[in-house]
Amino acid sequence: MHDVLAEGMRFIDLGLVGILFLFFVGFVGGLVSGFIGSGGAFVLTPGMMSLGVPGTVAVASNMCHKFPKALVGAIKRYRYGQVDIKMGLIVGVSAEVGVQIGIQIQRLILAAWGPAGSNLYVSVAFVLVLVFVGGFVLKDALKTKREGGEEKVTNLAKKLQSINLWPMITFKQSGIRISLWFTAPVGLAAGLLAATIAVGGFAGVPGLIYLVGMTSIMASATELVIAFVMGLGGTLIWAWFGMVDIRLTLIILAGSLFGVQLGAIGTTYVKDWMIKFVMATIMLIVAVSRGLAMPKYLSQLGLMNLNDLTLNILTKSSFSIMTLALLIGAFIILKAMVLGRRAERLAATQA
Amino acid sequence: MSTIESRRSEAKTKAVVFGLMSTALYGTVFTFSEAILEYCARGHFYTLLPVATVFLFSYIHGSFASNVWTAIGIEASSSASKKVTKTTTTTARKQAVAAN
Repeated sequence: MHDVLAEGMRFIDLGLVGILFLFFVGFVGGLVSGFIGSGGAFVLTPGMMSLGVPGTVAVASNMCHKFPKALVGAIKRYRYGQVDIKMGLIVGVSAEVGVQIGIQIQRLILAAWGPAGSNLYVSVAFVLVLVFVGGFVLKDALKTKREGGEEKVTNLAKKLQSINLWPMITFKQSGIRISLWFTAPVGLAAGLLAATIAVGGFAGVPGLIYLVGMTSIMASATELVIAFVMGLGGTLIWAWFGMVDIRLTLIILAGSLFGVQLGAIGTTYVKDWMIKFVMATIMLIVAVSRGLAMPKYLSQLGLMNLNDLTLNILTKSSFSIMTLALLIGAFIILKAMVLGRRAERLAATQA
Repeated sequence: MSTIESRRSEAKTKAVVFGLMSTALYGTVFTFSEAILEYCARGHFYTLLPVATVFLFSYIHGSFASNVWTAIGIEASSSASKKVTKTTTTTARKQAVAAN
């Protein structure tokens, strides 16, 4: 991989604007990750590429900041009793397998259809997964809110927990006993998605909630452990090939370590359905963003004919909407946190 | 001094200490950025260098960030420890208890 990019081209000169941009996106991304367990980093790779960072270096540097951020977030949320470490590690290992499968699929597609085909595959995966899962999660979040905000374990999760299939594992922290055969697909799906769209949590968190039977709070916190395991494994591979730009990683980390802890604090002020609501909102807006990016790749493959101006507008709109998704998510989190703090202070005053 | 005030006062001191350490670390990295970047990008046997670097920064800078939030009064809800761990099903809860 050393030969892919000439030595001089790999690392860019960083200006003040670039540093402030990365710090800010790191902070907002960290805030979202600390709250919903993942989903804050997807803007960073295209964001770094817009500064002139080569794609592989952007992916590697992003991943290198994700695992320490996830670790700090997981430790913070562990102190609130929200993390099931055993679940996170077990699902994390299967997620690593999912990542490897995802990488192999990407390689096959790249070899068969080139970079445009690979980008189209990523966008199609983005749109399908985010619309389907995001729509389902949003519907469930609104239903839970209407019914008073108390989450119920899905019938599917109850059914899976009742099947006594070796090896059964007891997860003391979340009070769940379930077969490895039902936690493994959640990890595989999270890993596959992480290797494809860089946000495994969009499969991992819903999987832990709807298939395994965890609460949203615990699922989103446990996802941070899974992200740590996946991120560390991925970083070791990228670092082996010398693709990490440590300056980019550390600047993003400077912002994200503030954000991830604020997001973690935010979870203590909201009801469980709010986690689902924020996650679904971000997923659905990002789906629109990736939908707008698809004509470019279809044009490159000769499957669509659009002029350069239209493609340029669609590409810029796609990136803007993706950034907007993150900002809207951050706004909802901060608003919910402010309201929660105000309600708590009011209750304390009246008591 | 109340518990909250003493906690925030302690956090302020720690925020200053970790903040200085974090500034020193970032200052070092950006003063010698070319050399550090080059070593971290060597790959192979230098793979652990960027990993160790981010672990060090996440401890120092993470502690700084944590204490800053506490010092300015942004802390977890007092009910934080009460609202977690909602055991899923009665059957699962019984099995979990039995298994332990």
